[in-house]
Amino acid sequence: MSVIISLEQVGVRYRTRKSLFRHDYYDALSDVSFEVHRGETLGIVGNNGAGKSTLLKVLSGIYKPDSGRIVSSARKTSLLALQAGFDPNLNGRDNAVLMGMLMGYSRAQVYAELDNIEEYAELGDFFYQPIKTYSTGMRARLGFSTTSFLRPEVLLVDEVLGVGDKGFKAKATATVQDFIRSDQTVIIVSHSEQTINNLCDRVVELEKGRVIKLESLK
Amino acid sequence: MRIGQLISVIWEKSRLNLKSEASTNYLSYAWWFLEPIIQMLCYYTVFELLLNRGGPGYVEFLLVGLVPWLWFARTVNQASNSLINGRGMMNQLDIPKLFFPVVIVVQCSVKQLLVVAVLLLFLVLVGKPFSLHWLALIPLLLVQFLLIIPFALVTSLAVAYVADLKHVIPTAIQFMFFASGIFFNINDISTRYVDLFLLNPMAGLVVSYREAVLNNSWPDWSYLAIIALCSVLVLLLMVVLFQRADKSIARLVQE
Repeated sequence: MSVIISLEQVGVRYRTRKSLFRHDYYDALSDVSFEVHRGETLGIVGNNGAGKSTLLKVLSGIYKPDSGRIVSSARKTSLLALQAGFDPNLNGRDNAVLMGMLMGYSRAQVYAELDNIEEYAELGDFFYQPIKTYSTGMRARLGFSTTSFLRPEVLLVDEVLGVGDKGFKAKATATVQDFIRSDQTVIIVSHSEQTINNLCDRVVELEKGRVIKLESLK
Repeated sequence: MRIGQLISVIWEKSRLNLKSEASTNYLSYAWWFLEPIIQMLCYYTVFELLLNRGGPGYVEFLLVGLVPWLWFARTVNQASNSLINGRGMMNQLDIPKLFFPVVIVVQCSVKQLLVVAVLLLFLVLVGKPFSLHWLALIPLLLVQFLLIIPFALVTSLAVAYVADLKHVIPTAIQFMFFASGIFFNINDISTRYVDLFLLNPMAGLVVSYREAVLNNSWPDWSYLAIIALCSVLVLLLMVVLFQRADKSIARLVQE
């Protein structure tokens, strides 16, 4: 199986300011090494503060490691269910276009998926209303729908996504499972070991910023 | 992100921002005209009708300086906070950070075109005849656009690194206002200081605008060329700096 992303001794160190010239350091990740294979579903588990969010940011290219390196051959890696780019005064459609273009898709590519995004998000007429009139669940639905139709090469799934009501949650879960069965590369982050065991091919366990376990489940 | 993609998403975001801004008002897009009209009427009432200050033609003189100045000041002020304000977005998607300040510049510049149109209309209404020299506005606006971009980039990056600077920048812009000869004529200051004064590119631009719009003469082209050249050089340098700082910025502004 070919490697799509590889992390080599990645470390991320946050600097917390105490006063003008004094700083404290805090290692969110240290010496993290693993590989993500093309088409697999990789789980990342760990308690609060284990470094999962930071790792997601490194994987999606938002943060650069302070030490070590990340080599990725994925053209696009993105979080599923973005909340990004939401301008409260713009309608759902415009926000979807912006999000898609910021993910790196052309205007035409995003427009081609707009009908699908609209239908999947089940927002009805609200799709043409400013986002400020949306409930939290509706916003999450729009974000989920946009990213899942644009389908970045590597999808990062934060399991604690609040994707609306019961009905939509079931649909979203089904969609994620479709991704997992297909040749899509998926990385799922969760604190629930059970979810990970059900869905993933391999699992990385983090504790205090270090990898303590890396095992194959299937 | 490729440069073509970056440009198209900057344009899309600017367009949508303008739309979103307009949508918050009942009169939506009409405000782009109404706001400058009201402002100009204000100045006209105060300086021409009430105070009768500064001799004949003072309102025209003031407005031709003030309109380009406000474009500069507002854009730089807004752009300086653009990276901080973009923290939500940049922490979810890997976006080239140039995106944030440049969107502000583009969106303010589109509005400026309308303000300039209102200004010319105002001048015609107060009895200033149209002159061929008004065509110089095209290169003037372009040069000022080129000048504003590096200012926006420098200030936004500076504020991202040292958040305290956001308190300093409005004051610095205020100081620059006094040093740009908006409400006085540059010929009124001691000749010894004129060259020093013109080191401030906004002062030189304001003089050029007045030459073209009010005095029916062509601006000093070589001065404009120097401003354009320096702006492009600083712009290129900033592009390199932004690229190097790209991944640090998302973390810096989060704190």
